[in-house]
Amino acid sequence: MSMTAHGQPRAAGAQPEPDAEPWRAAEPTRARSAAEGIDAVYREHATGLVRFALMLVGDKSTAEDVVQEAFLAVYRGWPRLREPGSVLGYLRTAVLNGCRSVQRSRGRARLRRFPHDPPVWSAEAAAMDGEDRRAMLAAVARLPRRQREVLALRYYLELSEHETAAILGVSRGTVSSTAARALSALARELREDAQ
Amino acid sequence: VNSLEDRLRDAYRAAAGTVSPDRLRMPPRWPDPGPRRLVTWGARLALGSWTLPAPLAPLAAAAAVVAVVIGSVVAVGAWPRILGPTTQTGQSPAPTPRFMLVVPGGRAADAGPLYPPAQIQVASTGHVTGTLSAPRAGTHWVAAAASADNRSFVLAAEPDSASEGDYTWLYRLTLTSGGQPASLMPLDVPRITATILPTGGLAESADGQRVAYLSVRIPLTAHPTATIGVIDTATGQVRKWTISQFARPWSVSLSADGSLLAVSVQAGRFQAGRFQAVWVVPTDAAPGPVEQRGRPAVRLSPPGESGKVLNSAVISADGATLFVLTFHTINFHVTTTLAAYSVANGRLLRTVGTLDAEDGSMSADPSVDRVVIWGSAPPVVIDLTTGTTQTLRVSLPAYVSTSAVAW
Repeated sequence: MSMTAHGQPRAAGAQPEPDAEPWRAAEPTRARSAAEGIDAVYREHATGLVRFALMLVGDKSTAEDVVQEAFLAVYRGWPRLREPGSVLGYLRTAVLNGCRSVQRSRGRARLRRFPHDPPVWSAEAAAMDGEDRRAMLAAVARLPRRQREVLALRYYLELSEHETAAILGVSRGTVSSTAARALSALARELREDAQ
Repeated sequence: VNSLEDRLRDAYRAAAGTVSPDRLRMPPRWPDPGPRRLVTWGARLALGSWTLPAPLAPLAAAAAVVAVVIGSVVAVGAWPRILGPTTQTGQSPAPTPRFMLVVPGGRAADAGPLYPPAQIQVASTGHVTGTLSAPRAGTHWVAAAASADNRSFVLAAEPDSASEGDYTWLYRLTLTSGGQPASLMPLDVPRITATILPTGGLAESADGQRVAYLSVRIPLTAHPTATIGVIDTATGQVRKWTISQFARPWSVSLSADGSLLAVSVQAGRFQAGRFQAVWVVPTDAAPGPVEQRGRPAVRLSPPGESGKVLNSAVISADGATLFVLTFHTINFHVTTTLAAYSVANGRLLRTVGTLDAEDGSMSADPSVDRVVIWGSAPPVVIDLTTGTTQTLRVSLPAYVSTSAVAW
C-alpha cells in the first residue's frame, strides 16, 4: 500500500499530495483521502468488529452503534495516525471502550429498560440455535466485565495473550490469570470441570 | 482438547453468525474532520486530573493556597473540609457537616444484596451516618434530590423487577443533626406510572416548593415516551410536559424559585438532523411538548457529527446560567467538559474545566455553587466559581455502582 505524505494509506486513484502544499489547499485532499481510507477499513473490518462488540453488549443494534462511534473516533484522529497498519488495533480498543460505556450506562441509568434488542443468546431473541450455546453465552454475560473482555479477545478473536494484554493495557500475566479465573467460573456456572 | 474452551468458541461463532454483513448499516457519512486542535486553552493549571482554562488559573491558584492554609488547620488526612454550606462559611464557629445521600445502583456481580440500602454520609469524610432501605418490599431507591437546608431529601423508589410494571413512589426524608434518618413520608402526589431516571431525574427548587422529575414509560415495542412533571409540594398538583419519543432525556433542574425548568435532551445517535439541547421551560407554561412550551437555550450538533455528547445540565439559582456537562471523544480518549452558557442567548460564557473521565452524571447543591460529578470514578465536587475540585469518598460496597448522589 502506498502512503501519503501524512502517513495515511493512499486510496487507489488518489493523487499524490505535494509536501509543501498550503494548509487550506491541502485540507480538502486530506479530508477526502481520510474518508476514502476509513471507508476502506470500514468495509474490511466493520462486520468483524460488530461481531466482537456483540459478544460484549449482547445486541446487534447497540453493537453497530458502538462500532460506528469507534470508526468516527478513528476517522477524526486519522490525520495523526502514525501507523496505519495498526488501525485495527485502535479500532478494537475504541470498540472495547465503547462497550464499557454502554455497560456502565445500562447499569447506572437503567438503560437496559430502554427498548434495545434482547441479547442474541436469550431465548427471546431466538437468534441462535442450541440451548447449550445460549447457556454458555448467558453464563459468560454474568462474569465480571474484565473476564468477559478477556474471553472475547482470547476465544472469539483468538488473540494471543500478548495481543490481549496490549489492548486491555494490562500485563500478560494478568490476562492469563483472568482467563483462568473466567474459565473456572464458567465451569462452576455450567457445573462441569474445566479440565 | 479442553471441551469447555471448544464449547465457548463454538458459542461465540454461533453468536457471530447472527451478524450478517449484508444486513449491516451503511457506513456513516464521514464528516469533514477540519483542523482540530486538542488543546485550545493555552496554559492550564492541573488540579489532579481536572484542568482549568487559563483565565481561571490565577484564581484557582489563589484558591488552592487558601485551601492549603485552611487544610493545614482542619484537614483530616488528605481531606480538606470545604463542603460545609456556603452560607455558613466563615460565619459559624462550629459548622455543621454537610450530608450526602448516595443511592446505589444494582449489584454488578453476584455478591451481596441486589439493591443495598441508600447511605447517608458526611460529604467531606465519607463517614456513613445512616442507611435507608426502601420502604416497600420488592422496591429499591433509584434517584434523589436535596433541599436547600441539606437536612431534607426527596427520594424515588421503584419495583426491583421491571415485570411488575413501571411505577415510582416519591418520599420525603428528613435527617437529624447527626445525619440519621428522622422521618420518611410519602409525598402526597399521585403515583407515577413510569420510571424515573437516576441520572438527574429528580430536582428540587431551593425553596422546597417544587419538585421536578423526569420519567420514562417503556412500551415493549416503541421508543420510550418521556414525561417531565413539576410537583407543587404545597398542593400536590402536578404539571406535565412530554418529550419527543426519539429523543433521550437525561436530566432536569430547577431554578431556586422553581420558575424555570432546564431539561437536557440527547438526540439518538446517528439521527441525521437531530440536535442535542438543553431546553428551558417556564414552570407556569401550559402542559404539552417541551419543544413547544420551551426553547432550546443551548444547542449542540448531534453526537455523530460533533463527537460531543450532551449529558446533564443544571440551571443556576437565578435562572440566568446553564452549567452543561458534555463528553468529547478525541483519539479514543473521552474528556468531560463543564461549561457555562447564558440562558438568555445560549452563548458560551466560560469553560469551568475539563475532567479526564469516560462517563458521569452531575447534580448541583441547591445553591448551585458547586456540582458533583459521579460515574465510573469516585464523585468529584467542582466549585463552579473557582473550578477547584475535591474527590469524595463513597462508602458503597465495591460490587455496586453509584446510581445517584444528592447533597
